[in-house]
Amino acid sequence: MSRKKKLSSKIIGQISLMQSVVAQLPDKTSMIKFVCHGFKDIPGVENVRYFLSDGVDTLPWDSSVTQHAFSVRFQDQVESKLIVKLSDLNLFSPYIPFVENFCTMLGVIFDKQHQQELNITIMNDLEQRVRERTKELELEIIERKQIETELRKSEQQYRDFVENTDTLVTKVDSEGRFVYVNHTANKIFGISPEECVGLSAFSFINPNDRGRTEEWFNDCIQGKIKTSTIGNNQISRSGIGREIIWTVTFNYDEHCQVTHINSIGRDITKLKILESQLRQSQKMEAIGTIAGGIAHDFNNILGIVLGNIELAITDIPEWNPAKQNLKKIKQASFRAKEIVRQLLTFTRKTAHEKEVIPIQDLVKETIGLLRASIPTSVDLKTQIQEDTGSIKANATQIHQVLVNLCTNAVYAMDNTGVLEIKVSQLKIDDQVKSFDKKLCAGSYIKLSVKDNGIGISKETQEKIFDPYFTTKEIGKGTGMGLSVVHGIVNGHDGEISIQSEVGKGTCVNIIFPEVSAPLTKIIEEQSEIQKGNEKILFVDDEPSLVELAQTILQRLGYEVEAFVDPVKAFVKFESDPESFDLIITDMTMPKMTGDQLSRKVLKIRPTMPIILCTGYNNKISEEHSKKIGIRTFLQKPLGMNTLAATIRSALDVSKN
Amino acid sequence: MSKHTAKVSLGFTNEKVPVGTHMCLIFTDEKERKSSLLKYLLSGLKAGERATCFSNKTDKNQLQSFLEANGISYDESINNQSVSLSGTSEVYIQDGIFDPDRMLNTLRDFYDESLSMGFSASRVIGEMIPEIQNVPGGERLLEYESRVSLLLKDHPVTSVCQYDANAFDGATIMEVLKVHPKMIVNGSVVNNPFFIEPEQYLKECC
Repeated sequence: MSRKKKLSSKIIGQISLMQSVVAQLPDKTSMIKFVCHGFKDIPGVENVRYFLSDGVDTLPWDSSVTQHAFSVRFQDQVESKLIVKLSDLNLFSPYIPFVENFCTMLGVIFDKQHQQELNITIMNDLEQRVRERTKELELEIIERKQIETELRKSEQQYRDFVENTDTLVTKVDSEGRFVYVNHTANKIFGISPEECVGLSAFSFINPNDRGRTEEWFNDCIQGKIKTSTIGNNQISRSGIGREIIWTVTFNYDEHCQVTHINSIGRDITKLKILESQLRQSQKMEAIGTIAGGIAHDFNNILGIVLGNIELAITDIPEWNPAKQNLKKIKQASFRAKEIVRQLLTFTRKTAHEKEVIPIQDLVKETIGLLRASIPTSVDLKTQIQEDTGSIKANATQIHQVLVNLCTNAVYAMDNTGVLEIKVSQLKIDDQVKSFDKKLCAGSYIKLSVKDNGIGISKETQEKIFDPYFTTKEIGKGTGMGLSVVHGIVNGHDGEISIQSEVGKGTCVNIIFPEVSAPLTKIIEEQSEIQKGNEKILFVDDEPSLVELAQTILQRLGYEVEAFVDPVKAFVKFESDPESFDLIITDMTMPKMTGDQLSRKVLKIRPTMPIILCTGYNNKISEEHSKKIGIRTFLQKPLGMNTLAATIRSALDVSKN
Repeated sequence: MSKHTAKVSLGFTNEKVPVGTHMCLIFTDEKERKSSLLKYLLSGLKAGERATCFSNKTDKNQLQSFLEANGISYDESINNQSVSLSGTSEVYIQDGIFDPDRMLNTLRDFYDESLSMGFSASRVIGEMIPEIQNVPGGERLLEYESRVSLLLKDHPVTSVCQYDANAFDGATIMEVLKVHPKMIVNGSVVNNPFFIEPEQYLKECC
């Protein structure tokens, strides 16, 4: 065996061990150091260097030095070179194939390590991305949870709002069927929201409003109306009607076709009742204004007629048959005066003004007016207890209560039967609260309206006071009558109840708290005429009345100075305030009204007796007159006896 | 090379080696290091040997869990001094210096004590730390390793030196090969062709 080819097993073992160990080293630098160091043990090797390949086949040592280069290939390219400086080529050359193999293996290790590094980099990158994404997702989850929480809160708020509101909230499909209804359905439709779903929304609409509403609905579905409001009357399953004003919005599909209509329905029934009451009171006020104007003129005329008749009766001897005729005319004039007074009772007050009124007078007056409108086939019976007492009431409203009850009674009797109106006192003590448990012990006045008509069933009685509830045919009743009655009675701290039997009739009982009696307003006509001799200043813008009053007062023995102009009258008074004992003045006069004149007079002479007369004036009442110092308030036309008694009374009070 | 004929099991390989063998384990994987360390100690204890370990990375709990999972009471082993665990730094570096003579005396004492205590043999496993190279005396690390081979001829403590390839550079690893007669490669004990007999190594290299 030649020396050249001799191999050392130890060296081969070293190279083999290096192959095992080098793979465990963590990086290229460490490997190269390890290899360069290890190869120095190979026979014939003096030194070992490692170079990164730059494409130039350069050698680290001088060309005179024996050296051998081994390529380390990495990714199919010469990545680097291991240069072995040889001291003895012959000794080294047997190991060249082993070193070459080692270098090939080194390239594979580099490649593997590179792949591992790459994998680690990719994995790290991936892990980093996963971490970042996880963080993003965590933030997104937190954000989503916050949004969900907000959404839940918002939904809850919405739900609370929708479910707790008194407003009706509905959603209907394009066929008009309920898809959603809130709890207010119980109140408006008389069934639960769940029962409403799937039902036609039109089935609850009052037949009077149904056609109009269907037409409007079709316009909405066809897109002719974008946003809208509509009002209609909804009838619940139990027959209770409510006025609803609807505000709607629409849901559209992708073809801009309306799929659903969302509606908010506001119950304006009470508002409608108030509107109705307001209209009624405005109507009454207008009638009152007109009637007042008429009454003023009519009373003046009546005053002239009555005054002159009384003068004529005085002048004509008893044997003259004309005297009886004149007395009949006087009686007729008093009746006319009473009718005007009754009219004024119902028209002169504003809607909510209340005063202490003897109820029997009020009922009698109303019956007097009702008689003309009740068919003669109805037998009207009254049972009015005298001195029943007074109630604090608005005369117009009590009148309206009686008219409504009587109208209903006549309708129930189909214009034939017996209508009974009864007024009586009622005492309720702590032990017996028979009428209504809500009432406290005390004195009450009971007003009953009874008929022998068709009667009311128990079921109907339960909803009879509901607004818009009516048993009358469409167009014959508004359904507001008893509702208004109920409202008025409540407004007077009263109670209303119904006793009825089908086929036998109905009795409506109303009770009002009794109050103390009012001041005496009018001095009754007296048979003996009272006279005097004091000096009276008389003022009225109606010349005929002035002339008449002057004649009457002079016959009664008084000295009279009369004026048609209140300003001139005041000038006269002002010139010598102590010269007159009494002033009688009309209320409504041009230039200066009666109360203005009175104020000016009383400013000069505060104890001056004044009688204020009025045909009609809604600006002044007896109470108001007394407040400004006027002694007596007289309603025209003035009868001679009344006038004489009033004058005497005013003068005597003044002297005392 | 160990001149002793009795062979001992290492625990992490089926091969048995003569008592007092000086071996080197180059590792890059921490799991591999920990596994071989614990198995080596367990194997010694099971064989009635006295075992000690120098490691900064292994703690008492790990050793206790491992031993008890394999039916050996840790507390008992500690109490009868059949096993001990010390940090590499505190054993190799004292007063801030690395003193090979002191270390060799420690090994010698360990062997003698073990014999006097009645243990059948003794073994040590130490995890070498690169910090040693940076303290005074650190340049004598390879001299120390070479002298360990020499010492073990008369004081046969079976020894495994663990070198972390990530912590020592390639040149140092190559030098380490020269002072360990046996290498543990891929879980097997192999003769190390780079090994230089200590007498020669100490003469030529130190």
